Amino acid sequence: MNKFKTLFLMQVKEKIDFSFLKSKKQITFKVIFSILGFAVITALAYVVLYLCQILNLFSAINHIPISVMSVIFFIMFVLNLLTCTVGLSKTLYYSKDNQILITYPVNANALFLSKMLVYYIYEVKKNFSFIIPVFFAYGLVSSLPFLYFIWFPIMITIFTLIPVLLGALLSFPIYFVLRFFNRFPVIKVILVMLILAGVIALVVLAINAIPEDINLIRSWSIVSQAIRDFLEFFSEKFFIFYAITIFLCGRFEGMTSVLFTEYSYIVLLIMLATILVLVGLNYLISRPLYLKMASKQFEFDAGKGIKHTNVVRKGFLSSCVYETRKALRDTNIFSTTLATIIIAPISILLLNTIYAAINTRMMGDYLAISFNILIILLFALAHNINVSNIYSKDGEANILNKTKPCRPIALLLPYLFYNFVSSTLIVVASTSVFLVNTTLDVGSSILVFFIIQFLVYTHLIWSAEIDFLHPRNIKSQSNINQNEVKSILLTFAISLIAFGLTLFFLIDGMGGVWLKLFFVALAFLAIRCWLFQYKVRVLFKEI
Amino acid sequence: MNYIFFGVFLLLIPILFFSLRKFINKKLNLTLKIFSIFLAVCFFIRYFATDYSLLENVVALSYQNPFSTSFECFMVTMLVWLTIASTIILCMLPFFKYKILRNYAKTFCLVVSILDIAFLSQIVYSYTGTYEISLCGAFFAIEVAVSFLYSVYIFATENFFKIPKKELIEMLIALPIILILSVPPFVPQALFGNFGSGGTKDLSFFHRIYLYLTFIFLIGMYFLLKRKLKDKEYIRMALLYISLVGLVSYCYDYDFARFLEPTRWPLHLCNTAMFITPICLMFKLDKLFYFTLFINVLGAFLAMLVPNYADESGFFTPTIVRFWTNHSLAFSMPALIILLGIYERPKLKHFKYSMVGFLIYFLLVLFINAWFTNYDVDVDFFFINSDFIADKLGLWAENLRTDYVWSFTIGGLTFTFYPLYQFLFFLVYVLLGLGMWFIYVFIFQFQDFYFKLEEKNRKYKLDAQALCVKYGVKGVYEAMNKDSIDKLVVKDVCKCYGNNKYYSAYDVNLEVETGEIFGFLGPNGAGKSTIIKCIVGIQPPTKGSIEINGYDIERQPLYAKEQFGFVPDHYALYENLTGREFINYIADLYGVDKKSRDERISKYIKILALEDAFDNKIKTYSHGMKQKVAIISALVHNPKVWILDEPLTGLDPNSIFQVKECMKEHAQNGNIVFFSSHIIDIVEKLCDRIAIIKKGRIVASTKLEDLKEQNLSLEQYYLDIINDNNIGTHAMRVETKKEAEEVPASKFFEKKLKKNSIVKENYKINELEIRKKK
Repeated sequence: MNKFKTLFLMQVKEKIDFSFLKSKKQITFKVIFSILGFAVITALAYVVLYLCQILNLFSAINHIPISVMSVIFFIMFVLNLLTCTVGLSKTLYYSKDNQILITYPVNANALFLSKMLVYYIYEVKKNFSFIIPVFFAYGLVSSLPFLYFIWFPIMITIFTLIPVLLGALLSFPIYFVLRFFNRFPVIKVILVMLILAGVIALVVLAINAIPEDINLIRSWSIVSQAIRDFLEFFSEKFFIFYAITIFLCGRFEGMTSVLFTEYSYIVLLIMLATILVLVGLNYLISRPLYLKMASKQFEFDAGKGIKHTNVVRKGFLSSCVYETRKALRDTNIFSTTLATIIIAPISILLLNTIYAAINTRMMGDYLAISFNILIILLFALAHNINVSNIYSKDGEANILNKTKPCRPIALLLPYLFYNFVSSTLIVVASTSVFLVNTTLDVGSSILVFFIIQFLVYTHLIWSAEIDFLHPRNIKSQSNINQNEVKSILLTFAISLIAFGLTLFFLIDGMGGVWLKLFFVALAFLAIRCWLFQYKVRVLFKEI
Repeated sequence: MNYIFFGVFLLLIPILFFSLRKFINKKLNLTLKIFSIFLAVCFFIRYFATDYSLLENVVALSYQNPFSTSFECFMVTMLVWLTIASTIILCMLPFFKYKILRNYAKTFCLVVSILDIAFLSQIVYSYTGTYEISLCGAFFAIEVAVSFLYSVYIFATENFFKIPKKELIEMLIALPIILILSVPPFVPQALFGNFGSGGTKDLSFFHRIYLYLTFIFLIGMYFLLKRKLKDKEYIRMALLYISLVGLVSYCYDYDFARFLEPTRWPLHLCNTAMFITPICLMFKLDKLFYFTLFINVLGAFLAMLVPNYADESGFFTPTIVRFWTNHSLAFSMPALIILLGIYERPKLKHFKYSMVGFLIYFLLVLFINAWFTNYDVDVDFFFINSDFIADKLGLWAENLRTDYVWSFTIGGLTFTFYPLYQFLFFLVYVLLGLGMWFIYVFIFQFQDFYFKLEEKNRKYKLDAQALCVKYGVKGVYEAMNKDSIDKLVVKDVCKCYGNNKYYSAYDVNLEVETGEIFGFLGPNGAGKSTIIKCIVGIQPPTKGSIEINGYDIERQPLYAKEQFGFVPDHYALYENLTGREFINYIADLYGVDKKSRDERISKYIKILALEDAFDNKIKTYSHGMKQKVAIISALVHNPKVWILDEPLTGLDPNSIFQVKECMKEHAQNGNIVFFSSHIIDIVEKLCDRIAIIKKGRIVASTKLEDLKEQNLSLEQYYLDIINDNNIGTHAMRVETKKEAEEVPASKFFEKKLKKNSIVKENYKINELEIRKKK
């Protein structure tokens, strides 16, 4: 038992950051921030649900039907299941600590159990930061009894076992699929392309299905009926989720909410039975397979490379070429780029087709333009989030760069070359679609293109700077990559500020909107470029 | 009549001055301080004795000229403005030792006071509307007389017009700032008219201009004063001047009569800041300052976002200029004071002080509002009595305010409170104050980071210049030290990581000659890799220097790095490239030509048996194969010095043999091989010389031949030294943090460089030469 405890604590500390426990001050801050975070998400969900309620979006009698929550619960469950499956396949089969853990003198069952338990705790923690606040908001909006706020977290903690155990079962075939794709990346790319093609075809069908004149107010009764029909359909066809949601949230009988119904005990029993069955299946299938597979080294098929000759290039150009090759050979990066280049313009086309069908006033036009900029930026900047890891991912090879006889900036800039080109392509593709569908004149269109482009480069440079200043230890198994988190925050911040400023200047009506934004974006880029080279020049030796 | 007053005081003041000086035993500075306080008292009496007609009189000058010429009108407007700046400079003069104040006193203040004398009647008329004797006129005459004599005194005692060039430049830079900041609110309108009519609220264009100006002022002043960061007194002087002119600007429509009306007292949060800031700069009042830092700054910012004046006014309307001067300063000054280090950065206890202060202030205005409403219904200090804020928040806030009212009567006075609304108001403000704490913490982190960055940048520049000082006009692309050519020289190198208490390497001295294979031995954690990392430029040494083939790794990094090839203790390669691609990439970085590259690559892949796998991706290689690629990459440019950190780990016996052969061959070709290893047998067979490092210090260095002569095996020698408790028993402790950070070159040459401007020129020339060469 002691060994299990040690094993468990060792892994849980690696997975979840407990460094705040070192001082009372940090604990206080952590508790305050956690409560604040919880409160903020609850408040946001409350606002959304409250708006839906007063707009009678889901029901004519000014309330949120339980079927809405069952849809939300279903979506969250599916997402949870997906993340658990992928996450557990990494944790169980791809984790590098396996090679060490299996050599420890511990019971093999304890090893498997500790891994599962750590993952389960991680999932529970995740639920507390999203599912529970959302359902608490529902409880507040629907004035559910106080007992609900105790009942729901306890039950969701137990229920989380289901996606984790299911994920553990599914992770095994996923492991083989991933192995297969790793062995044959071409098939992976083909599959991705096929999926993309399917998505494109669906989107094109959807675009064609958009009516030429959308009038939400006039067609509200139809839309509203469609929503209700869907909710009814869902309650019937996905009855199991509907029943679980009632079990978790209770149901309304007239105007009063009843938390425990006659079905509650039945659902509880079914849930416990399902968990027991899943535990049994995991014990019989996943555990032995894990123990067998975890000890396997990752293998690569070396094959027979085609003989090449040596090629001489200038230092900087050579770095750019090889960095691009590295990126292109990373199927994750390449497929993301490809997907973004295709999906971004299609989304913009879809957005603009819908806008075109809506009879908008001046304010609506301004919103449409601003939203276009927001969406393009979100796509392009999200594509560059990987840059926040661009130097760290090379690990020690990146550190060895310091021994090369090149100026630091000349060593670091080529890393950005691939993203520079690919994000330019994304912006060109999506901005072109937007500009074709808008009434902006040529001059403004050119300025809009450069504004977006400058902001994308700014984010690129800034993300690279984050990684340069805080190189991440690639050996760390910690799930949270702080650099990526920062880059994601930057993505949202830059996109939303650009959206806000565009809308503000357009509404302001002072003229020269695009010129002003152009200079703001240019100044922003210039400042970030200067800061990047300055920090690299001064800190390269030390980092 | 005013001239008579002036004349009397012109005679009286010198008598007073000399009597006072005699009375206080010739203490000149104290005498001057007393006169400055006297001048300040006269100024404020005159200022508050001026009634509301001051504004109208002066503004009217532009179109209702009460004087015979427009020139008079213009001069009076300007002098009203310039006199404020001049008087405040003279008031501050004896309290600060800086030349700039004296230079202004003997030039700017003297000119202004002479012009004041010339236009005395007109100015007094514009203040009072009469040429007859008045309290305001009399005090202005005294003020002019004191200013004039004060300026003349400084002029006579400070070398007349002689001002050194540097001081003159400093004066000229500061003058526009001094003048702009002291402009009275009515002057812009008098000079430019009622410019702009688009409204100055609701984030309109003019509102935004004011907001931009506030931030430009804050950032601009910060960067301007940052240059003097080491001289806190200078910064205090500058900030005090700004806060005093701000106070004067704020008080322009206050007169004695207004102070007698309690309902008009300046108790609004931002109004209190105008008094608190100069008081905090004059006296050390911690608690008061942190109140203004957390409470006033926030209040001013919110007020600037939602101004409470009438919107129909123009951009230069005096009320609006006054509002913005007031709020911009209330917002910027505490921030500047803390960022420029006049007060220490807030700790938790300071935040608590500020919150206690805020509670007292809140309860005070709550009571005063309820009390004074009995006399004037418009009383609304801190906007907690009316629905001004509730109205902006919406109906729910209005309801919150009106649904819970608590009213009672005592002695015929009715006291009305809105308990829930006012409590929530307080609570929200405290939470926003807490938010300010985090914003300040973020700003301080940001500031610290850039300070360090700037400091390091300055250090590197000094190092580069030091190089030029040491070696004259010689270009930095030439070997710095001719004596070290064909050598690897490690001199007095110390390395301390971060804030560690112990040196990882201390006082390491090594010299490896051409043709030598040098072995570097030591137990795990002794400091071998640290020294190697310093040599190859991965870690900068804390002290000492490293020269590779005559090039200093710290000061000539690019040229020094061209001299060596490095094989790390762990292969660090780009796994998605093929072996050939990786080697070609490295060869490109070193600028190896095609012919040499083809020859060397084919030679080494043959020797190391890597021919078959060379065009496969590196991620498919075994550990040993990866190590071989690392070895080839280090040799592809045929380096003068080949440095290897435990290179033989993971290699098969055949490859170990081949690598050893390569090392021998490289040394025989007149190069240096420097390597660390744990495998003593190999070191013994391969090396000419060895050094042993223990606890960060070189404890032994010997030729292998000498050991052989003494019939000692290297293994025995090594074990004797490592196990000897008298040798290298402990790592060297870092004395102070400062010592660890010190870089001798910067310190040593700093003074020299300041004197030697030619050096900077040389440095520029060298840079140009390098660029040309490239």
